[in-house]
Amino acid sequence: MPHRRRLLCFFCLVLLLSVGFGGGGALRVAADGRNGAKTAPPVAKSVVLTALEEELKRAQTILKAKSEQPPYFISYYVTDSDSMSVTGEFGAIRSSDSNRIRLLDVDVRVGDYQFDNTHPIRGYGFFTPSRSIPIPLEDDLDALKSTIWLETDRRYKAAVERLIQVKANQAVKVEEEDKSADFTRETPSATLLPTVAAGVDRKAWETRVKALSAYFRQFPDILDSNVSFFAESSNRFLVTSEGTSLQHGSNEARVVIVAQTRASDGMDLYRYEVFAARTADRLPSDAELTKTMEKMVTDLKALKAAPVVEPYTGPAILSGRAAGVFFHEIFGHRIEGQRQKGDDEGQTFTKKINQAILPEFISVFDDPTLEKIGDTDLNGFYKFDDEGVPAQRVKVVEGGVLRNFLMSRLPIQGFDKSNGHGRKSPGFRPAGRQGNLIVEASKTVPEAELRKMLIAECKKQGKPFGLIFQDISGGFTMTTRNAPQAFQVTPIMVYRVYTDGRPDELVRGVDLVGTPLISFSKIIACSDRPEVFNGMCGAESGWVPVSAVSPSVLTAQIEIQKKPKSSERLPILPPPDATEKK
Amino acid sequence: MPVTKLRLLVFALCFSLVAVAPVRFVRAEGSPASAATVPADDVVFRATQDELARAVGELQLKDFAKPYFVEYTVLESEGCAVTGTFGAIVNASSGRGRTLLTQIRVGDYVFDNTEFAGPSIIPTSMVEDEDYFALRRDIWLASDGAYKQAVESLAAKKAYVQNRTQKENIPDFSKEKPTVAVAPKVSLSFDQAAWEAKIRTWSALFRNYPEIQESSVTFRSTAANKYLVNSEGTRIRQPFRYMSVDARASVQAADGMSLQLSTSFRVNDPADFPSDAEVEAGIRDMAKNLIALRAAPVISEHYVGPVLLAAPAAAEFVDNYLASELSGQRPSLIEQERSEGTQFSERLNRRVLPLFLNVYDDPTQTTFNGKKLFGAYETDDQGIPAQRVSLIEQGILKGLLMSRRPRKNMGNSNGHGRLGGSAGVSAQYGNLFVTATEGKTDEELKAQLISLCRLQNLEYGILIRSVDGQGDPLMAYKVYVKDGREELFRSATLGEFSVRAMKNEILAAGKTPTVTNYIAGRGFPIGYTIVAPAMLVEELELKPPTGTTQKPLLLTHPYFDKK
Repeated sequence: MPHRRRLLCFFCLVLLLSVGFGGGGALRVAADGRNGAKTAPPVAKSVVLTALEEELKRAQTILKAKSEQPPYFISYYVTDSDSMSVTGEFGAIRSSDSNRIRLLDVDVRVGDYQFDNTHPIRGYGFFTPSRSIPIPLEDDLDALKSTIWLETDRRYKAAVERLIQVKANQAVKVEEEDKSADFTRETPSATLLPTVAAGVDRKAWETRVKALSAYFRQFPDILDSNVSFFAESSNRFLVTSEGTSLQHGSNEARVVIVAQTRASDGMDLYRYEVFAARTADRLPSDAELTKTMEKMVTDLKALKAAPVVEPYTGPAILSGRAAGVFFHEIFGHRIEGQRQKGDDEGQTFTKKINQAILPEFISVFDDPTLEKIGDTDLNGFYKFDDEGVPAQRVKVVEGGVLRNFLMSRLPIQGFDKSNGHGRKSPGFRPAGRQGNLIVEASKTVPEAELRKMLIAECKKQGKPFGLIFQDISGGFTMTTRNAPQAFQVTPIMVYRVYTDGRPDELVRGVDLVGTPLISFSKIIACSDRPEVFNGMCGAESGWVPVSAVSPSVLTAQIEIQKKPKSSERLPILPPPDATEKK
Repeated sequence: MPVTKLRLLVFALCFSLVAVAPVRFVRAEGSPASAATVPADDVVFRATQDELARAVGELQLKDFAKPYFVEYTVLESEGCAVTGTFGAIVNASSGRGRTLLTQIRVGDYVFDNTEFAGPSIIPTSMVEDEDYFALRRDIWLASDGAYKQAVESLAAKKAYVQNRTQKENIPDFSKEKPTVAVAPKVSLSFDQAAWEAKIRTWSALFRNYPEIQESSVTFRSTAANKYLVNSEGTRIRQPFRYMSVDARASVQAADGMSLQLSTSFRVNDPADFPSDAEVEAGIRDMAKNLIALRAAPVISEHYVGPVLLAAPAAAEFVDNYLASELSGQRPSLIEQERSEGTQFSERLNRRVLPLFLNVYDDPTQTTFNGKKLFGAYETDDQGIPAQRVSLIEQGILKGLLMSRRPRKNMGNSNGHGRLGGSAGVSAQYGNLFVTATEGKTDEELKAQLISLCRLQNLEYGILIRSVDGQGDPLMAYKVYVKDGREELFRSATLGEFSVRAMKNEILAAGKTPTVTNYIAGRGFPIGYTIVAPAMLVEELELKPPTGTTQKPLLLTHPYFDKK
């Protein structure tokens, strides 16, 4: 490819995952939702769930009879996904695909809840990746069942082998600091919710995407651009030997618009916009999308002419969306349960329960049960997590004091229950992950007042200007000990706000960097207007849809560094003439 | 449009932007005479030609040369795949894709930026739509990148050469006449529901074999069109059609060893696809073979001695050991530090095979004994018309397969520059024919195997009927000297074999060569064919399996458990 596509790193690549992909909002709603008072019609059990249940029973019986060390836990988890994606570029379809797949994840555990084969082996890095098995798309009971048993056998043998390794590792290494168990005990969930079906007209979207993407034809400066539409209907089926038997479905849809130009010094400049909705019909109209594209082109023209900023530390305002990403990276990833365990982890907050870690006017909670805020759908909405535990609102920080972690079924010292945050994408082991991370301030000021406070703070520090981070594309953080405890956030629209009353000035070429503990201590004030950032978050358990909600935040000190830049010249020849009649 | 029915049209007009040489027109044998020019309504031709004109005329960095040669290859393909297991569909996918390969050469034919370090053909993706403007944008940006890279490579190559003495001064690129050959396009048309129904039926056949643990049947259909447009005036459009059904299954033997077999039905013309009954019979045969293999004994000791390779196994043998030796591709400058080419390439006019064997490559031949050949093409991937090339005559190496990369004493292409591999285009075979002048019947070959073993005091010889992709035996038999009985065994691997040994160790070959078709290429299909007879080899080594195997399964198949 002559020019990089999918350049946008969305959100939080924990653990140094280096590549992100376009993806923004993705709203999920279980189809049973909102039938409130009315009695829901009885939901039929799907053939998939029946196949899983029958095979699980059979596997338990046979392994109990034939093996010396039968498993104490088996689970079958099927993700049935029907997705489509259409990308258009300068008025033409670049790609248009649809994909239907049913993936089975098998988990077999030997040992017991306290100590089992999933226990980390120290000195050998992270746990081994799991894998998914494609199973029939059709509801043929015999065919479905024929694909489950072999994988169960393989995983059982692998589990027995690993438990032996785990025991040996325990014997040769020093005692572990955190002596918590390997698996939480939970109340089984037996809930049948209706499944969802895709109902999106791909041909109609191809026409829309073509027409929308043609907008950029008239701008020779736009080197690369595209308009993508994505829709997915997923049904999930989970059966465990503990008695969980769960079936639920959700839809998501989004439009992503990307445009790129290059400054004369070779710096590639991007604008991107994501619109996420629960279903395709809730996405913005063509008129609204076109208005967005107009703004993107205007922004890119301004960025091209904008000066490159030098490294700087000083006061800044992070807009609500920027602050959302900031909190997601800097804070959200550090309160995920499994990061409190293990000698490799930085454990920034592990020992800080009931201690003040944020200013006392800030509270943070993660609430996957929240479908939307105002009219904006939230990406991190779900009813059950990927271990079958019902989603729960978790108060993480109350009045600046750390209270809780985001828990999967991996216990940590002092926390022996999941709180419904065990999430993953197919093929991965679940981990504690964020859903809808919401930052609230008890003491707020209007946006205009926050700006005045910024200027005052600059004057106090003797700085000629402060910064406003208006829009942001994503970021990443490292939480392990062998890397610096740092985060980076990638802003797109950054302005200098001068203390002498000059108009604000757009600048380019900066990344926001920092370390968590220092950054928290510098927060001065919050605005009264929360904003939503919908995105996809990639970490050790795969990609999951998330939201971050925050008001604008004024901090006394942030640090920016120069963005890496390409040294490519502009193309030698002008682009082909779009108006040429051929 | 199947390859064998390609209609390569004869053109009345020379359509070239830079007419450096008379244009060569290609006409397929037996094709109906029809005249045409490069079709004016073909958007891909229009977009590539218009950007080509700009690249040749205007693409230039200050103080650097313009390109002396520009070539665009556009690979369009649409395909679908349906996989079923145990009577149900597991995956049904379809997709389209269009890839642009850009080659920009700066310098001149004698010394240019290519064949130094790294590939000189740069692949980029293109829009799927027939949109003139969007296609031109893709070509514009790709050309810009390719030209800048070419300028840098040429400078680096000049610097490299300056510091070294060169043994010989062979040009980098051959001068050839341009070709215009435009065949009708193909597109994918098939009845998805009907094929899904067939896949359900065929994959459900495995419900009859309780020994089989895992199985799948996959249907694939691809329609591809290849365009070639270059600054010398070459204009080519060539279709390729491919359809296949592959069935695979696995069992676990009593000792825990896992065994797989597969069977394939492949055609390059959907009209040739075997009947349902034939496919069903083929799948059942495969299942039965696999079950027989499961019960067969493991080869327990090393075997070193005569081996009879039945025709399909011999084709794989030819592909693994002989075929790559016949390429006359001169290595790039950096690669020359390590090797000067294949072992054969320095042995022209010397004997490399027994006197009774002849080898030639003929991409112009579309069928053999009524079977279609996948390696047939009218023009190669550099636009050079396909030619029959005699490679080995009565055991003597007479020629090599050539692309537009010249070698010593071979200044021109013989129409074998083919896409594939990491190097972009290189000299490779199309339809490789191995024939024997004193061919023997299967019975005669078996008798000769037995008598050889008797001479060496061996209890048995080995007959290999089929091999896997690595060349290791799948269906292989001990042939007892005493009574000629054939006994199936499993799990042997083939020892090392040197191509030099072919000269003396192939003792006899069969009368009737058989056709083995291959498909390679990621995304875009590239066909190859080997036509070879059975071969009796004086000495091959077969090794028993090493390493550990899984314990037998604890769980049982739910379907057969129930019964």
